[in-house]
Amino acid sequence: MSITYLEAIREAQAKALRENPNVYIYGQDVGMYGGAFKATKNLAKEFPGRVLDSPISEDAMVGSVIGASLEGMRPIVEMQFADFSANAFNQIVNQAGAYFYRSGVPLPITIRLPNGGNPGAGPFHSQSLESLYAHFPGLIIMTPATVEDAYNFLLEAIALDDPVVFCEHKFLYNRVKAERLPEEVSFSAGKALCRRAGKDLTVVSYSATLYDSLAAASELEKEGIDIEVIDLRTVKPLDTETILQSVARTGHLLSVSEGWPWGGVNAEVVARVASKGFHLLDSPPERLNCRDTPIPFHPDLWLAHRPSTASIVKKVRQMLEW
Amino acid sequence: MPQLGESVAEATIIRLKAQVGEAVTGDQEIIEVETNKAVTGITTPCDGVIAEFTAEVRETYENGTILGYLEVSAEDAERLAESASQAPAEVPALQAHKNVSPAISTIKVPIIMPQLGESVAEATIIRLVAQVGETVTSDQEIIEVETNKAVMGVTTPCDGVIAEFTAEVNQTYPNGAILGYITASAEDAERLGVSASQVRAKVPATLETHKNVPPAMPTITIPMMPAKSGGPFVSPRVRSKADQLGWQQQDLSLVPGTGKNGRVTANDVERYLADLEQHPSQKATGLRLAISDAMRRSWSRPLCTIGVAFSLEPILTHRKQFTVPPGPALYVAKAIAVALAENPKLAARIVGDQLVLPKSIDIGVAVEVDEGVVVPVLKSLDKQPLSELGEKYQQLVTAARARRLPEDAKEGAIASVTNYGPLGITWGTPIPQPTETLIVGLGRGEKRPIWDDATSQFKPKQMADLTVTFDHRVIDGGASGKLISRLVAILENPESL
Repeated sequence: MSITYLEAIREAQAKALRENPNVYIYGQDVGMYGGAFKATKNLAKEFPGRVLDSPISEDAMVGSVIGASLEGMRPIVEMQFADFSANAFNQIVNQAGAYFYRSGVPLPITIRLPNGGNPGAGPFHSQSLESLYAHFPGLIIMTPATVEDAYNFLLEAIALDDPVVFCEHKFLYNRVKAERLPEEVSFSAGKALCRRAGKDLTVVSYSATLYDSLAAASELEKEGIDIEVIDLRTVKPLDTETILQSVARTGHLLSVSEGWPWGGVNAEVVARVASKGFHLLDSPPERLNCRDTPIPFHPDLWLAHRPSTASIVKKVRQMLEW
Repeated sequence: MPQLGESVAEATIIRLKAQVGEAVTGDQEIIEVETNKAVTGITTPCDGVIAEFTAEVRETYENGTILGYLEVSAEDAERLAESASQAPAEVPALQAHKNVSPAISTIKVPIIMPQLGESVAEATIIRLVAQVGETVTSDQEIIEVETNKAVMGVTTPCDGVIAEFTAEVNQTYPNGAILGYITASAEDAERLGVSASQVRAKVPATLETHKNVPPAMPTITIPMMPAKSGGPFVSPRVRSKADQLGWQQQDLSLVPGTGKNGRVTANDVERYLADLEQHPSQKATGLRLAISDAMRRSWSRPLCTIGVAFSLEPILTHRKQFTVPPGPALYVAKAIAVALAENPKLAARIVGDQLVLPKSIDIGVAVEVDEGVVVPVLKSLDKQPLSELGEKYQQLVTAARARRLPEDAKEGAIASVTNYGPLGITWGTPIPQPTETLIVGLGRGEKRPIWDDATSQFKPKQMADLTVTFDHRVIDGGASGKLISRLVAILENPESL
């Protein structure tokens, strides 16, 4: 018996629907069809009238759940692909992000973004938008990498009074599995974790790049290089303390993200370490992103475009030769 | 400006007979002009108000040039427009109502490198088929170009006259590049999207924008942090570790580096520390740390040592006259004081571009104490009588050994003497303190055989070696030789002191 990352997301939503009558799901084909990735499979049947199909307008979807949340509901809105949330950009950043600051009224909405790349998905079904939303105040950005985090974080997102952008990685949906769901739900958003202890260099990662980083660590171990791997888990709030603690141990920082290099989570990690941990650094802090072009369609090009085990290994070697 | 007679091509404005804002009637003379044949008047085409004179007095204008504008009724404008279509040259003023720039009767239309096939981004000019000044019709091939796929022709966008080719043969131009200009009618230009305002500057708007970009700043070579080669770079982590340990740059320099080009990495420091931990260690005394710091700073200068032997006998005889006889080191100190008072520049320090001269001749005399050396200072020694020095020095030595030196004797020497004779040393290269430019070393006195010319034999003589170590930036070899000769001269004739 095992459970996937995708099933954990479905189970978390089922649990929330079961336990709180104010929770409902809104999105394109989330009802009888069960969602583009089947993240809401069977939920419409189990919770009649609470898993609702929306028109094909992300703008309207988010606008509508903002209104509902002000009336006391705790809506979950599903984007078919994170890329399409660009159509709801105004509602998410200008309305949802700013609402509490403008009015003092909390806005407990959860926006689920099927985020990141899958082989052969091309430029409009592969993008990573966490950095974009993290730029705006008022939004919590979650980027779980494990089954347990996906489950706990989604329940925490629904429970939080702040708007949450929940970035679930499509590549992990059916590839990441766990024995079982956590028996007790625990809330730990905003806390990064050290997933692998090491003494030579700190790799900061999150979401799918956690697995590339761990694979790189195994590869480097054969050469006697012992790297530490940090999983950010939530990119906003960013757990600077855990990152600095790790760099204090190793003296070297490599930040890895599937997002684009211009600005973003990696840039923020590097900036914070450079300014708050300058004295800890024994080499220039570095980052590894996908390339600064739209995401290519062909699976081989896609692999070459994003950070990979090989590119992380290469970068780490270079940094330690410095 | 009308045609003012047969074979008259231009006229010069003599006088404006009406004012801007003045109401005028049709056929009223408003401008007086002079041709090569006569003085004549220019009249208004209809009733109206003078809006503007674009022509200036004493300037010459060709027939057909716009000299100014009238504000007229819509009816008059329409009536004149009809006749204008029949005889356009006669009523140029009407163009103002169409917002066409007055100075232009024809417009230059750019000849543009077309897209010459799918995935073709550029083409090379082979030949100019038409000549400048040639009248061409629309779609006439005027330039032959070659792409990576074929030889093709660039055609004219409209009827007109070739005004200019900006493109050159054998040069390659991207799609959309301007290859030249055709003088075309306003209608054609308008149809092709070339407006008068664009043409005024004789370049299309895109190029004009390009022209407004400020020129590139001169490239400056910025010294880069050695990203690829660590070399002498001290990383922030190593720097902060060194600070934490109270290390100086010198301490770090002793650590073997394994980074790029021998850079000392944080791990190198850790290894070095681990090795140090294998050895017994203890906290250094404050005096030892002070000496260490002084020597580190002193050693940053290029120091040079010279030496010479001299006879101690005159001093040994001379000192006997005093109740508290001054030792040979005090004689040397006094001799330096005298020599430097004669030439204080020898004791100058060089700091930046300044030669810092001594404010008084204060000479230090090194005294050995427990676990170190102190150097009490004899202030203005050049002015102190030798007879009192013996007692004074003894007091200072007692105070120094008790670490109870009076404030004014603690520091600030411009030169000092170190007498290593009692240690059995004959010759050394002592290091001047950071405030000093030179230090004189006095070696052990001993009997040496000295050749005596008078008796043609060696004779035993009480001799000692004198050394001067100096900052070679301040004192040259010649000056140091003169100084040591002067010292020897004084010491061998102590009566002068």
